[in-house]
Amino acid sequence: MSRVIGIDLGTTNSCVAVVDNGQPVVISNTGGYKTTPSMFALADDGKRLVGHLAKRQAITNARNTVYASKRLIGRRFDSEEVGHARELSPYEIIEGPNQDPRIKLSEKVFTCPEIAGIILREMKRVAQEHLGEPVREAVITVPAHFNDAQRQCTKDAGKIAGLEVLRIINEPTAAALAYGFGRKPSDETVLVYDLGGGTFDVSILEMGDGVLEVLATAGDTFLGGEDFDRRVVNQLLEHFEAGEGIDLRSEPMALQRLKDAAEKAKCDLSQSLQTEVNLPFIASDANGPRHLSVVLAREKLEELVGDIVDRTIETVKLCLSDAGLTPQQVDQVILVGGQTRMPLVQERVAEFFGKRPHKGVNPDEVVAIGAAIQAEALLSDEQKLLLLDVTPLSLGIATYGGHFAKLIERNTTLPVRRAHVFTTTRDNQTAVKIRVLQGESDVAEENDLLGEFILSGVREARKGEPEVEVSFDIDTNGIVSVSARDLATGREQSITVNATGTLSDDEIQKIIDDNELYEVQFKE
Amino acid sequence: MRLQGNTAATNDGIPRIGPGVDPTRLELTPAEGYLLSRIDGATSWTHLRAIGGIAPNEVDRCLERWVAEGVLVLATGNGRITPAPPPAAPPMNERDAAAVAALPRDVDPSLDIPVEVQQRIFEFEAKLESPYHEILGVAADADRKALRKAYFALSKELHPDRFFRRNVGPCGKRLERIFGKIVEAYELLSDPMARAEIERSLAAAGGHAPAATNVAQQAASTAAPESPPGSFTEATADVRTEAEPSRPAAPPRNRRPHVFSLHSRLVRDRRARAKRLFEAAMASFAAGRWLEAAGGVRLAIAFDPWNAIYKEQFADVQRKAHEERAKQLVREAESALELRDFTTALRAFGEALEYRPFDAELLHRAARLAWVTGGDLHQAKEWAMAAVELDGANAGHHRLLGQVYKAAGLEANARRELEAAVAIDPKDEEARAELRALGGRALRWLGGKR
Repeated sequence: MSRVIGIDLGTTNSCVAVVDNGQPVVISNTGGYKTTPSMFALADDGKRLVGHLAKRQAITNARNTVYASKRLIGRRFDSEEVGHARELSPYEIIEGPNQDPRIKLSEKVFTCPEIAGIILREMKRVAQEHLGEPVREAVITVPAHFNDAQRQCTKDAGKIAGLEVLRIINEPTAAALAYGFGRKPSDETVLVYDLGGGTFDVSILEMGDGVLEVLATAGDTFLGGEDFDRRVVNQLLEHFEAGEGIDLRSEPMALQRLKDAAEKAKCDLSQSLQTEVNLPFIASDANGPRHLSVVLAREKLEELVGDIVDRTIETVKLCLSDAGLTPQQVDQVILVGGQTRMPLVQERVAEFFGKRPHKGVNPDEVVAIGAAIQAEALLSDEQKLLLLDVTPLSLGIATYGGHFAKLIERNTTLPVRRAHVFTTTRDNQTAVKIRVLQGESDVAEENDLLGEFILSGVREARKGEPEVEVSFDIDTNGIVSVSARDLATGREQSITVNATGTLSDDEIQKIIDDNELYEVQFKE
Repeated sequence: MRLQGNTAATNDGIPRIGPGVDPTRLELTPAEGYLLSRIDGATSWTHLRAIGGIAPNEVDRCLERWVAEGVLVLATGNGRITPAPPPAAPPMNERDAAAVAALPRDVDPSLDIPVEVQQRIFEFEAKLESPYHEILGVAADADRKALRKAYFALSKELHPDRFFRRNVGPCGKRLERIFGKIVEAYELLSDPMARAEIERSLAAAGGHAPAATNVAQQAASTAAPESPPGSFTEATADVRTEAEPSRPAAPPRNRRPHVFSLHSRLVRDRRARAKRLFEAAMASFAAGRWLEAAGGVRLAIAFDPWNAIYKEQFADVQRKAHEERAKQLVREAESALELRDFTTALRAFGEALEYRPFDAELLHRAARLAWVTGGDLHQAKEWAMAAVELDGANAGHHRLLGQVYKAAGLEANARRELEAAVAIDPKDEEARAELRALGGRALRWLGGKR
């Protein structure tokens, strides 16, 4: 049997791991790095570049280099988040036929699952080179608060990469798995604080006897390390504008340089108290070239992003309240994601919990390791480890007056199946439309629409007589499925689907076929 | 989201080998043979398409052809339509056959799941209607730790992931049902409110069956109006039966789970409401609307009194709210002082003290203002005394109290406090001056004991 890998498909960086002789190991790419930038670029000559290669040329080819596309995956084009990305990204984001955002590079249009698939394929390649054998299966991680469409798209991305996705698991849960692996079985309550490039998640787990049970999970979709970078970029922009009178916001190349410099400065400031940002020839006007040179102190950075860190603590509080725990009842706090290297983040967390966070895990690699452990646990016969995860979002349907009726509350243990019996409200009504949504708002409109389906072929009868049982399932991947049955006849109802944001099987197959052409290039 | 059931044109029944068909006589390609081997009378068309190894449209093509040829018959959903033909079993020798005959009817040795485990699954399924603690296999008074241990152990044994990717046939659905029930039992027994209700009903069921019925009906009637309004109204068949007045009481064994699932819904509802209130309160808190936040958290506690964090947060929120209000009032007082509006300043200080009754510094300021402006000396004395009580080592508090006493004509008290002030801080010239003004006697007592 071939090996199964665990992939952390991150907003900024991705990482792949495998369990080797019972020990999880992170696999380095050809350049020797354990993480690979989640970037994809189309070079002038039409060549496709992934990872470090893409990052290296990003400055000179900003318009055709995609980064942070994870923020777009599975979202609707008209969503707030996509709007946000459209303002800030140097690459062009257009609307696809399924109301999904697509990325236009040169004249070619890519879907988000396709971009993610290209990055996954690169991770697969890294693993194959290390293992010396083909890899066909993987466990892939997603942020805990990802909704059904985002998970579905990630699964599709796996398919596009030629991987069978055994399981989609939540990033903080994976981190907890890695933490719990090989630890002697003792009862512990663990909180995972996962501040990644583009997402923030908190999960609280209880572990003991080889079982990890997720008690609650919460997240903030609009928060991540990139927001920290953005604050620094804005600071640099303002500084430059004040000093030189030139606004760099409309210069893609300058913006990309600023973005790189900001990220680097932010990382430096985790080690030292001040750092220098030096960007010669960043702009030029009639008076000749202009340079940006500024010293940034850790204090200044902390002042710029203090409120973002405070917001994460608010999310932690909500998660604790969902689990019904006080900060004192948490035995161990695990920090995950590169952004948690920032001293301010560590201080705030330590202050809130009254104890230092756990130091034993590498925040960049722990998620991939957890994914590899889960893959191993699923396939091994010994069943040393079992994961009991929850659904991060409530699932329900829209009812009369635009209300949202929750059928499965958030933080319900998976897998879960809830059947509900529906009936008609008019005589001889034979068809009915059901809108399935995910979210926490009482107002249907404010939640994510997963899809709508029409139940037709309901037998003609007086209102209130027909009984149609609709089952809502959420599987262990967090993916939703719906089926319907007429209780009187036992007949399955015919269902018409208008899923939003995701790709159809045909579209996926077409992308796979397209990408086969490029297979040769990946292996160069 | 993927929709199961009839998507577009494909028929989503459950294919079985047709009656009288001998699969070994068919001429099949290896792929077709593989597909046929997956047809076990339980796997649906949709799942067959998803099985992998064969393209979904290829699966459709084969299945459609076999149905047309009569190799397969289709049963829908729960299999009510087509009478069940004998399932296709792999050929077996006589000894195996004898062993199989000794097993319960549903145990299928061809599945990738040990026969003992299958038996365990059937046994477990048979007791799903038992009281919750029996499902978990714990004592009726088991504590949270014992519950969790049992829950973890059962999960490890019976979670569907335990049999990941194995051919478990109809056991798959059974495992899902069993695991769902294990979670339900654990969640309800871990919830103090739900558990109290369960214990009450169990006790009632032990003595008087009709009592249990009452609970059931009450629960049913409470839950009924909750059905979401709209073009679809929810109406569970069970609720309707419960409502029939003439129906004799059924054995409580059958009712219990239903009562509690309704109950757990009520609990969940309350919890959800508490959560929403709490979230709104935290938002107000973040926006600086402290009093509103405190009110919200108080309501959340009323809806979900078992949530420790609400209580903890409440203390936090309230303290913060009070601090903020006090700060605001002190600022008000200070700006009033600048305008020489002493009445307003005094009132503001007084109000601030209601939020911060143990702030010696604030008490001192208020008392001093009351004394200097010749306001309510009685109030000034109360405040100054409180300051002394809270921070007796501060010479200033003693001095001020002495000054207030002096203004009120209570010379002995005044002398005592001023001497205390000088004893603590011999350099307190103001206190010395006050003492001198009180008369020569005081000087003799300087540094002495009273």
